Amino acid sequence: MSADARIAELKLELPAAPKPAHVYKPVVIAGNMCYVSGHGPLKADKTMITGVVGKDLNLEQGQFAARQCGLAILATVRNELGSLDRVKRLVKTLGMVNTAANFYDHPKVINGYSELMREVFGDDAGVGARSAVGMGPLPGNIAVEVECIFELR
Amino acid sequence: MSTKPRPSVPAPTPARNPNLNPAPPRLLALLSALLCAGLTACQTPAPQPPIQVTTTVTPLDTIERRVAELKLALPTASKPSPTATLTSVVISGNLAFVSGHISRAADGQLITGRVGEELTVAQGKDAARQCGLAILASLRQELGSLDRVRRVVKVLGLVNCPPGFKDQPQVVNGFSELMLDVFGRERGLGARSAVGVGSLPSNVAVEVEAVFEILP
Repeated sequence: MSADARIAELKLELPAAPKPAHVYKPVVIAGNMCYVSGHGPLKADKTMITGVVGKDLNLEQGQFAARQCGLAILATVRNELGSLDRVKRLVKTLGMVNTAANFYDHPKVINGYSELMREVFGDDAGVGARSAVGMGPLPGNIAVEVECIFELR
Repeated sequence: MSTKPRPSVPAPTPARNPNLNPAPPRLLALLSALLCAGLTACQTPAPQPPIQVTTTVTPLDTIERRVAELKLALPTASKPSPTATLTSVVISGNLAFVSGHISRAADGQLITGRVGEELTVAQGKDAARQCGLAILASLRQELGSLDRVRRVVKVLGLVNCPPGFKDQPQVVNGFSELMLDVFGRERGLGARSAVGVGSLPSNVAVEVEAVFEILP
């Protein structure tokens, strides 16, 4: 099933593709690789989910934030490519969690993003190489930031 | 330059990237002198003023030319060491993967300290720009010339900052604005993440890694 069809089937509501506020592009395509800038956890009201996971936010809230990063990425990629069906597969993800010093569940947090990608692109194409780390503080004190690389058809 | 007679047509100007600064007056004067000389030669057999070209005019809009125009002093790129466990640049296909480059001042001293604590955002931004100069130096060493760089693809900017610091994008703009200056808007804007980290090697203020697309 096509990714766009999966988005509809899952009734996913993609936010409006966020506009870059600084000196970068949301996406750069080099050859058949699509490099996606770091995306924050965008909420439907266009604000970001902020706070330190493990302190201000619990694990579930962190996972939700990671998923929102994924929805923002999908919105950006669809906006840039016209259709998510041009995505052949997810290649590589760097998931960055704004965490307290003694927080160790970064992978579980970033699973919120990774499970979304698997739902949309499938068990093979939607599962990529990944690093999930604590990296903070993050801009604007956002809870999670995710950047990734897609291969295009 | 056209050699056909074009008496009623204004002297053509070379196509230029509008994002780049105008050519220096000396070069424009030389170009216009050459163009006038060409047109004059076609229109009239009258004696021409002698044109003395003492230097080769470099092609317009090349990256090395921009680096020279901007008077950027690139630092000395680190030499590959036989005991090194990493390399500054790896070329794979048409992509150049550049290792994290740390902030060093023009005199070679490390720029250290946490941005938002020991350093201001403006100082952090300058540190990020220095990372960019170091990356350009490494690319030039690896590629022979920066003219082989087609575009910035992806940037990861890491800012050494205390909890609660929120202005990492402004800091990393110091790097990105340098890339814009050198490569122009179409080629200099990459995808980017700009984030804070709790510590960096030698307590440097900023570290930047990047991916560039290159020409064969």
